Amino acid sequence: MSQSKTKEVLLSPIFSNNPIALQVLGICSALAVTGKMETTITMCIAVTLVVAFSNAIVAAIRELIPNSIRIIVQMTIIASLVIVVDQLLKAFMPELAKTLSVFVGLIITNCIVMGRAEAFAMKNDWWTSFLDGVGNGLGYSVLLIAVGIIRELTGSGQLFGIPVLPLATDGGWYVPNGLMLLPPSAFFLIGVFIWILRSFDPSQVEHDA
Amino acid sequence: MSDRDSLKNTFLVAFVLCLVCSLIVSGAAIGLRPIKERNERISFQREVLSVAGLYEKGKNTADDIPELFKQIKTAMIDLETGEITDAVSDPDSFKLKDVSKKPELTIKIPADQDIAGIKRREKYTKIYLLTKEDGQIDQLILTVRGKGLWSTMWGLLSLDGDLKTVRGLTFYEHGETPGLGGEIVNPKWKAKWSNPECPKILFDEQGEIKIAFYKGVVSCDMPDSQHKFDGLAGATITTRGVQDMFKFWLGEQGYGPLLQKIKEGQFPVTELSNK
Repeated sequence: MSQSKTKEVLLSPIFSNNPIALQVLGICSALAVTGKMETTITMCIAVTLVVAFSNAIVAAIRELIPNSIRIIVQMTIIASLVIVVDQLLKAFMPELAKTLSVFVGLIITNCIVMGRAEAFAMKNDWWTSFLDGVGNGLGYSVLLIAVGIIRELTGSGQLFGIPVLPLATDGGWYVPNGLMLLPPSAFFLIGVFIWILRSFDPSQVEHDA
Repeated sequence: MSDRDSLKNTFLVAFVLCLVCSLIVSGAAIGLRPIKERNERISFQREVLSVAGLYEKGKNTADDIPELFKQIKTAMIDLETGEITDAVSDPDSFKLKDVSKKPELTIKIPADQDIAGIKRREKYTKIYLLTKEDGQIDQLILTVRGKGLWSTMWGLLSLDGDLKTVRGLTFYEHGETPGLGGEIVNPKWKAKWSNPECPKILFDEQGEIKIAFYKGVVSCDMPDSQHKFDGLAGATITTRGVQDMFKFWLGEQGYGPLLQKIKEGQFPVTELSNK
């Protein structure tokens, strides 16, 4: 495997082939967890870990997986990893796990994880697949963090729970926009991001068949 | 058909995969269980301490909790009679969350009395007390819960020894909208329940429950401000849930009998031991 391939596998999902912006996968959790940066970052780490390791494991045993049950095999591996991540969170970050537990469980159905296992890991060696997983996890993270920053800042005037914009209720000037804390606002933001990305890179625009 | 796709191999792969995965999952669950249980216990104790004003974020750390918690006395009570009960064999491992799901340990609340919308109420529960040097109650800490907009809000209420003044209110678990109803855990909102200069009083002169939310910020010089609390903008249903929660838990279905027993001096406060 050449150096350039490694780099491409790792970096292309971040902007040019972003799982959320281009492939429009994994939207559900992007809406749910981005109200606060703390939850956003934890979710990003969890998804990156799960997609990287599930890719690596699926790729390592891809020669053994019977075609007829391959989706179930991938699902089982992903589900097991997610449960392990959830358990680790509950044990070592109990406060965060409280708010995130539901969404961590939903990583199982996060289409990025399944999508990468089926589309990439089934055809590549384990190391490349691992990098592909990390890359896609990072791509997911970049978008989530961008959405998270905007939502927490405009919705509650804070970043990581630290006040940044002085709120009107505390004598400042900023009146928080409650809409930004509700999941639909993530839809608008992701839509805007996709628009911006595709304006700079018209090759991402889908054409009618 | 290649060997990989044969029926035999399909079953074999499926079987081995399930076995390996189940081992990993159960290994993680069992291996981490002691840490999780300790976390749960500590985090609940932290809530009890913080509603009592004994734990401050930033000043105390998680390591202080077991030591601080030694000041707190506990008792298992029968909610219906308000008396201490020994019906619970292992009070130390009492977990309200688990108990509230068990039909044999809860009773169904008649629909017309289910003000807080919780459907079932535990028969026996654990209460937490802080006593003064003369043995009188300084703070009585009670577990409360009520339905908000999306979720059940699980909270702790600390009452002064006079049994009507709020010393603290905290919610340790809820699923309300962040930034709106979720502001019930905002320290600023919580602080208004434990402001000694502007105390909140839950009962009126006649001993009737009197607490209501006010749309906006309650200032101390408003008439009846002691019976009003700040409504949360954009979260009317959550706020009403908090109000209903008080009405339920202070009433006959809730801690009413216990409060009555304490007022009559029939509750053996001095006999309780520290945990």
